[in-house]
Amino acid sequence: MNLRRRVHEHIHRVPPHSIGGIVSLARVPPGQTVNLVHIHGGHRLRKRLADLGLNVGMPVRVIQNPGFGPMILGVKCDSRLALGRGMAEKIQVEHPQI
Amino acid sequence: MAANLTIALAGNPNVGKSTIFNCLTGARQHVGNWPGKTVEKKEGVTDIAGQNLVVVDLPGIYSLNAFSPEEVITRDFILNEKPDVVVAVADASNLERSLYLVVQLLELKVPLVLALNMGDIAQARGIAIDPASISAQLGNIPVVETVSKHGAGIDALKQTVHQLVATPQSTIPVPVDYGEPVEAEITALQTLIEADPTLDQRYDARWLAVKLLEAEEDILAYLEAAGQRRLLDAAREAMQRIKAASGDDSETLIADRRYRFIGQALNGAVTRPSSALETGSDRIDRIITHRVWGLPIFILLMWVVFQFTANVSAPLLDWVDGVVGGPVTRWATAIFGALGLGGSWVESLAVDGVFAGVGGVLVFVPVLFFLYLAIAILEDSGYMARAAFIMDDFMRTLGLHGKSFLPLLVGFGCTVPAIYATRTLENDEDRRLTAFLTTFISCGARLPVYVLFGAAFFGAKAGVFVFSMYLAGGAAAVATGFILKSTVFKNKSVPPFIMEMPAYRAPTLKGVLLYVWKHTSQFLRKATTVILAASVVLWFLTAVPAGATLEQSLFGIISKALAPVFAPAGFDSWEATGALVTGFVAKEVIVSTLGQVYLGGDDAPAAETPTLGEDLAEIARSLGEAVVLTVQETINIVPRTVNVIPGVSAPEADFFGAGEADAEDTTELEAALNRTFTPLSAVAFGVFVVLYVPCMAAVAAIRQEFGARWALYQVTYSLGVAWLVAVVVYQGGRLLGLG
Repeated sequence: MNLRRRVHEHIHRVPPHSIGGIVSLARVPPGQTVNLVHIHGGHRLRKRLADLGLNVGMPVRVIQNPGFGPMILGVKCDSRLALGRGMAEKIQVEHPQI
Repeated sequence: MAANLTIALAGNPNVGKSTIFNCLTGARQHVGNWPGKTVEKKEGVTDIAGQNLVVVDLPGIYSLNAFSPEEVITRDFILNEKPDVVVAVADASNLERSLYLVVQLLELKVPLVLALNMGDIAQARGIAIDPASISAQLGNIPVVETVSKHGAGIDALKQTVHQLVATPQSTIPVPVDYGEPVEAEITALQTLIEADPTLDQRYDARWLAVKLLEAEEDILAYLEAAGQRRLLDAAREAMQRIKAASGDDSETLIADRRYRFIGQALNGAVTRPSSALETGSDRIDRIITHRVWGLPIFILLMWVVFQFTANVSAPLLDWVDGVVGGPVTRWATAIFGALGLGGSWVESLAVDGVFAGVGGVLVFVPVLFFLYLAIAILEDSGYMARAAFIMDDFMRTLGLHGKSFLPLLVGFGCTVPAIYATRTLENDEDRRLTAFLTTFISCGARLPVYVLFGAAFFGAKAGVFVFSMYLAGGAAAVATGFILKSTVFKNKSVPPFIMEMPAYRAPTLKGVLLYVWKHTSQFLRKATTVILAASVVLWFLTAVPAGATLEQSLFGIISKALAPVFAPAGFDSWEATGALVTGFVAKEVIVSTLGQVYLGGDDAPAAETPTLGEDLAEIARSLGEAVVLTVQETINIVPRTVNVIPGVSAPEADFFGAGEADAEDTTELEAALNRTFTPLSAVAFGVFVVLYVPCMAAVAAIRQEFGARWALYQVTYSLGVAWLVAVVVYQGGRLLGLG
């Protein structure tokens, strides 16, 4: 149990220097809401993501992020999207200014 | 009466669009394909105020961006066929995202009715929606609330459609304000478009201008072909200016403004409790898609599905088999006898060719019924999307997408529907690769072969033999995935995993039964013709020349000629080869052929021919028994599942006290097999059966979906692999001293 928690904390450790800065979506721990800043990818990909509610400037809530494999996001309040890790790495997000 | 009016249903996947379609049309529907596409087209007729209207169920899509064939179909249908009313179905419990498509439909300026479906789920989450306010914000388009799974609001929807048809209002479309600098560029492009009559007649100028700035690929290609260089250059420059001025791409800005427009429209129309961030679905997902628990739960569910298809369906399968092979065949023989055709070739063709062929297809109906029942429940409840989520990592190592697991699962029941199930995949290469792999997944028809050989050679260890055959099929699929991924599909990129996870909901009986009926009947229609034709050809081979024994017939001659090919694999008797040849028709035929060649047919006449009344009574009695046994097998899923845990042995239900006394007449055949096969060559034979060409119907399905060339590849490759592996097993076994 202890080991699992340690592994969990290790995976979700947010480097101190990135607090308030821009990180990849893949690094955001579950329960946090972040703003989408940039999508590294072609025109098709960006449009596909926008169709599903992931567009630059929009808030995204991370619902599940186990640190490997796909993650689950909450977008547009009620929509749940599963997103592959590779894809999540290409999405840059930042914490909303408090 | 004037030409038929048309209603088109459009909406996202999982918003209950099909349920609304079913409510509107009832049984009056027809499922086909869109011309030239493998996308399903559903059309039906509904009756509104005494008038028949054609209802077209457009494919479920998220946007009109024309990336997928579904999106192109929807957009082109609305643009070209100009339906009289488009009913946009939105999910009230996921309204903001649902309206993204609705806004794009608004921009097409079609007569639109908005159906807010699944309001009950929204309500359960405490979300309150004011339809009048939404209607006002969206340019006064009519808004109807529906709960399609209960049929609620359907009459109101019909009424609204009727009013819109009767008094076509010129609803003032509310254009989305794309803001500066986009609006200025739209206006400039609009002027260019309006100046060209060929374009101005075909498209709405503002719509086309927006599409140009979104760099809509197929529209760009169309304009390129139409020689519209000047317009395209202008659009490209406009996009560059927008990027320079705002720092963002034009399509990002356009999507952003659409979502903002939706946000404003819903502002005040939707109220939600602040606590509604985490839904019940999210809580279920914490367990179901958990990185540790998700996989065991998935395996458990697949095990239950497997039990359903293999064991629960067995009593009904035996019943169908018994009825077709017994009374029905007897009746046919009696009718031919009465017509004076007894013993003629006509009788033989009908009984041995046609009836055997149709029987072979019908036997599969119970298997498919239970398979689809299980799949429908998983699909309707929302689990299927989670299964794709859990399997994505593994499928990715084979160069596939998480969604590809569904066709592979269907493949355990029957390869033919598995090949059709690849239609749910987005890109063509994924579909081809997945379909190719499904052919190695051991289908229900192959099972009787392993069961026979397992019982004949491995006695109490028969289960291990059967299981290893399934493993061999799975291993071949995995290996083939690796090989194709690094050769034929070397440049294929696995599409990124992006999938909506619909909220969990209780499946409805109606929805599940409709799904089962649709897929089972589709299989029957497609498989019957092919298997029937193949059975007739096979009958011809065994019947020519007239009066010859099986060994002397064309069939025997061909089998003998081919037999030496299998010498390195240890089974070069003409009987074994002949059985494999008949296996092309359908693999379960292998068992009956072996019975025929070794035991000389089952023509032992019954001591007394039962009367028609006795036959009917027996059919009814055995059906009753089969139903009871089906219930018993369903109950037994629980002890069988628990018993997998070592050391646990829960008792299984046994209503008739039949126990394991199911040995009957197969023992004679087992003895005959023991004379010509060794345990090692039996394994090699089993491996060959798992791996070679699934059956004619599957090959026909591949040809229909992917073309003759791909079907030929499949046949060649699977024969090659099957032969090679069988030889390796046999020769390897001999080297190890097992022969």
